[in-house]
Amino acid sequence: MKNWIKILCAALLIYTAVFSLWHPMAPGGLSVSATEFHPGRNEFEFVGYGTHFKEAEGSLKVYVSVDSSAVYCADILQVVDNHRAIVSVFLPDTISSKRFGFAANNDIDGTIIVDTPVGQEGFTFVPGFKNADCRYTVNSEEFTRFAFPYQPIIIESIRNLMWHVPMWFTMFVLMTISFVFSIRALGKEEGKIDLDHDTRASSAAAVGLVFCVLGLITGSLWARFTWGDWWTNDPQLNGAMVVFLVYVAYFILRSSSPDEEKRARLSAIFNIFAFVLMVVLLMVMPRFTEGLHPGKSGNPAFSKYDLDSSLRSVFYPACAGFILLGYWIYRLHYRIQKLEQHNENQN
Amino acid sequence: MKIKTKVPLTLICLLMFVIPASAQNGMEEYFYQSGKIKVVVGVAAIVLVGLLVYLWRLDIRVTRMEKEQKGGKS
Repeated sequence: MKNWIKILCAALLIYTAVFSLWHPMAPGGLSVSATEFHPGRNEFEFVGYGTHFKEAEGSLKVYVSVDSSAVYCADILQVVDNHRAIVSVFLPDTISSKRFGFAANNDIDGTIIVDTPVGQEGFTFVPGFKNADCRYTVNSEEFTRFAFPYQPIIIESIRNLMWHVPMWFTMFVLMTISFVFSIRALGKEEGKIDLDHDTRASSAAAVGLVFCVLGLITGSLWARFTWGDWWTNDPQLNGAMVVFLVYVAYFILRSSSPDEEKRARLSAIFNIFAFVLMVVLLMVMPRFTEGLHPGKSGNPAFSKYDLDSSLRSVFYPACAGFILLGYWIYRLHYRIQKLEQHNENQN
Repeated sequence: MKIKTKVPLTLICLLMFVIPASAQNGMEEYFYQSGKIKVVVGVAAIVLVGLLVYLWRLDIRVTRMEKEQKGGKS
């Protein structure tokens, strides 16, 4: 392995570690303190995340939209700090709806919409009919800075994208290497098996399995704090677990046969099936089923931001860095295995 | 040699006690603080610890070979 690859790998990983944590988050609306609204004066606290209410106090405006038909301006009573403002809104007797959405606007953050509205799940601020005495401006576009997008519930943990997803990409690359060497081990000559290629295949699979385990654990922690459970019955998650068990079985199979040739032949054939199963379970199946995990038809959680340039600027180097690291460790593992075999043959 | 292996083990044990201790007031609160940034720290730590443990195991295999070579020569 060339030295410049190692240096590139180190540089990419340092870049990932720094910028996955350092990059700012775009501002967003966290919550409002009220759970009920009625005709007349309603006082509540507007809570934002990463906002600058205090710094842009002069230009701060808070709007309440009622049932996507009308928007009312709220009076700012007190700006507590950069994230909290106490406001009050006057709603006329004519409102019949129970659905309210909330937005704030200032010169630094642009328009922020609260993702947990009052009255109905999934309802959000709708810039509807313009009230005569409330002229609102929605100008989020002008304020998109180079920052990670704010997403409800996920919030800061969007940074996990640079740690959790590259684990699976690395595993994929290593399992592909393993698959290719398994085929080459079988395809040497009729009735013969290439033991060196078998060693390479097992090394790549071993390191790939490490990344698979890391992907499972990190994914589990992330799921706990976004979906509320360590494990959900999602096709992607269950598929990943099956793939993990299949590759564990590959190593159990390898350790079960003392005869080198036999072991190489059996495990090469098993590995080919394992790889096909992995492609089907992790790449094909989840796209045809519904589930929580992003990256499929049922739930386009990240699709809106898939092309977000700020995420890409860290995500792609992260993938490249971890893939190179995986390849590096695979080479180490392979060289150690070769040395061990060499020593055994000498003894 | 003994000290060498004991230091990281102690560190791991310490971490195992320190992390839950700081999260005693309810792990959820701990991780939900300041926009779930702690979840990212946790995930990054898992990746690093996992890779280090694996490298440790590879290191043990190399050490074993070195020992065998020494034993064979003398």
